[in-house]
Amino acid sequence: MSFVFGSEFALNAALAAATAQPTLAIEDASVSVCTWLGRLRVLQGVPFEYLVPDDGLLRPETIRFFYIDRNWTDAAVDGALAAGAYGTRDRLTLQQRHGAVRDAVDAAERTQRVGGVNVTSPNAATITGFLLRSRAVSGWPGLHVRATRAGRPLVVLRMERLAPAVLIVMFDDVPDAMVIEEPRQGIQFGVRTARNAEPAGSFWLDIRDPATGVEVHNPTPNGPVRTERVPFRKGSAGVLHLTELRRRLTTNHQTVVGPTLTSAELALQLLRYPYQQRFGASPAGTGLSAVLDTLYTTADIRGWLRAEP
Amino acid sequence: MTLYSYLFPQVRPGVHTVTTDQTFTGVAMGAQDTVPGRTHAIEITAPRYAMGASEVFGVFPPPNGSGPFAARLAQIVLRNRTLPWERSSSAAQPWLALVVLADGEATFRPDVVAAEAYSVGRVPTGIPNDARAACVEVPRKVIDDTFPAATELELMTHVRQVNTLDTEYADDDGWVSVLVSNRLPQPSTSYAAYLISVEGQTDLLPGAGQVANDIDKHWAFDDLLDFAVAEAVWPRIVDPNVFVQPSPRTTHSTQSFAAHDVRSTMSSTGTAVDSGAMRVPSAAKFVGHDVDFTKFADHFGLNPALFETFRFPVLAHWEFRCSDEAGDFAGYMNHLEDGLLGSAPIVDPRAPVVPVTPTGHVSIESTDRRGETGKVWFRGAGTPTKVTRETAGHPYHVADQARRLGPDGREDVSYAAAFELGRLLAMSDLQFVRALRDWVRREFVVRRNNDVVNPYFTGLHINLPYNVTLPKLITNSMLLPGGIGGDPMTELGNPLPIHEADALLRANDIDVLATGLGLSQQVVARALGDELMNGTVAPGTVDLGLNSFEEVRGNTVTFTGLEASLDEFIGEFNDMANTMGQQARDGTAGPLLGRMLGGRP
Repeated sequence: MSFVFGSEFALNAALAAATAQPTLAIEDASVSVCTWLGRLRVLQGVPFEYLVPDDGLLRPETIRFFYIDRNWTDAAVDGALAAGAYGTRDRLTLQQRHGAVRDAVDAAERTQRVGGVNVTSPNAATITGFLLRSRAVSGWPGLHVRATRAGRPLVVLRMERLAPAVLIVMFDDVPDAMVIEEPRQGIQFGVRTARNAEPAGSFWLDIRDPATGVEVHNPTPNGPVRTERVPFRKGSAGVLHLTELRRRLTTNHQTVVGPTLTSAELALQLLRYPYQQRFGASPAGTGLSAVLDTLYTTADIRGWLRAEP
Repeated sequence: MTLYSYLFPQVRPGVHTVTTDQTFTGVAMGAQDTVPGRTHAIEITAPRYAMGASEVFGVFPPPNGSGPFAARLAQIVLRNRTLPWERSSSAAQPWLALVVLADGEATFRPDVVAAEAYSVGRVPTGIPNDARAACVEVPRKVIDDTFPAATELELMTHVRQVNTLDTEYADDDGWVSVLVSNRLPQPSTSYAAYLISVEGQTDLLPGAGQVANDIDKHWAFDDLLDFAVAEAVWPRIVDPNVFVQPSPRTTHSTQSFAAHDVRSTMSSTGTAVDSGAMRVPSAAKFVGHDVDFTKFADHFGLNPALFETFRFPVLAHWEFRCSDEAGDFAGYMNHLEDGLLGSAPIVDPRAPVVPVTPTGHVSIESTDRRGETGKVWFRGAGTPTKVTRETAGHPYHVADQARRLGPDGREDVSYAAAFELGRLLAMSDLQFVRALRDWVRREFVVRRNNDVVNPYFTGLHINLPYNVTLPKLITNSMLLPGGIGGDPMTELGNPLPIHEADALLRANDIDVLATGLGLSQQVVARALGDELMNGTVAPGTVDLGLNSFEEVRGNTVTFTGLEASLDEFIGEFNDMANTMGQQARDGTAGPLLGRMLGGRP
């Protein structure tokens, strides 16, 4: 009597052998493999269409926050690993080692950025970020982005301009407050553009106290900041009407600047500090984390944005 | 940092006489009561029509820089704190001003005789004949529009004292004078900033002008030349020789090319004007010098006084360009529309609404492998909601495993696309593929070696420090040719290469089993033997060909333990084989290939 093993028998045996051994540490894994996969995890080299499949999702002058879909990046990593798996045996190996590889790449993805540090945060598995498409990106290269959660600074996993006017930033963990700050370029003089309900195209000064250099509120201390519209000379492009500006400042804000205006006092009013745009941590208590962590409506989101000098 | 409105020097530049005399009192000394006085001549110099570059501490915007300066005022910082007032009659009127002029509003003459750096008939006394200077030549209209009023000069100049200890300028005294311009640059326009002397010419400065609340996009040269008229009409109706005159000052001009441009265009009377010289930017070049504007203005009924030009010495100048960002950083940040990626976009009546689901999926066109086109769902790596991560251990092996069906019956290709993208990115990087292959191969060899050897060591109770690398080292020595037990090809099977998946499906079974486990065929055959064929399992001793092992170890370990463990091992193996054989005969074998390839349940 002869008995012939089925090939299934052999495969089962091989499978049993493959799964019998506890997973080893990943120390044998090639460092360069993990580094490469870590770059893929933070979407290095991923075409823009894979991030924003439709132009309408990121219109000009918008900022869009997002979670990284871990399953998406894991699938991309699986694809990269599949490029090195030629047969059943390799696939078995990968399947067996999948968890260890994933842990190793989880660690590698957090050290991709120059100066990146290996920080373990409570929910390390969550990566968030935003895409900013604005002339603020193209016009002000080198802007600063800082994010915090409960006061703890978050590690920036990636910060890169994908296009002249498109910036991508990715954080380790979910921020509850974020600041985008104008690049610092020394002392500058100028005016500020219109905000909120001020007429489009108008220019303004926030009135500062000559004694302290800080903005004056009207009424003090919790009213809105005193502002004055900047006058221009009629018929000439961009020329300030300094005489009228002096008259307005000394008339409308006499309690602050006094009856006369010197060049030093005017210079103080014209000083421009790097602007900080804050997101989250609004007085109503709906911070960025509240929005990112829980249900939200579009109205909620628009409500976060609060202008702060 | 402290700001001061002015620092008016007590001693003015020029030749001064210092007279000393001395008188003794208290003691009568007769004719010697008084010591004869002495007189010294002292000349105090200060920049007047020219200035060394080292006098400039810094400027903004950066020279030759391009940037978003539309809400910024140009400034120049001078090391000399009193310079802006050294040639003034009072602190209320500095003799220096910083003016910002757009391309075409004025002509810069870098090298003229110092006296010619001033307007005709307005040269201050004491300008040496042999000195040279730079000047800017500005039409009356441009002065009226852009220069500060005389009463505004004092607002544009102040003194700053800063603590320099923590800067690279720690050797400076921390005092500087600052001149701020009175003009916001307009987007997409090139400018030059000039630090000019208005000494003796303050009467040329305009009045404060009318007030407007918005920026008037009106340029001085709009008035000087109606370029549209000039381009369309000029060549046909006008004899160019009437207008174009040799400039009396072109002997000093380094920009006489403008005259050439104009003449060559003029000579083509009656033909369409196609020369760039006639268009606005370069046409502006002939504002003020090579064209006789008096006659031109007369012809078009313009006020000739507007075209009269005046000269101001330039002590420093630099150029910059305002990029096309209108406004400032704060303005852009304030008007950002924010939201979550994939959240429903704010409805914009001018643009089609993107069909996007609350989960962030968008509908895109796709062509499947049969060439059929249709709509599928896709979502990128960024999502508006937190997505639970799937557990590890079930990698996709092919993209088709990652295809999903949406609730409306359309396919969701998000993960499949991600998989394919990762695969293509990997395959485009040969170095990565090589590293990956190397790693996969090493991983497998190490694990297989552990599988083969570890049961032996466990059974032998050999008290060795066990770690990951020890079995690897030992098995390497056992499995590689020349290792323990003679010819490994005979005793333990061919370690590498083993087989590929397709070969696995076709080959002789004992051979497959042997190679798959890394054992020799003899061992497997003996272990299974006829007992398996008969359906009865009778475990027996197995010769693994490890006779020399004891000698190698050089100790008293017997093979009893080894044999017992092998019995156990083989017994389990036989049980498994029996079960599978039974399943194969019954036709109840599980979907093994599915388990291996399917990845996820």
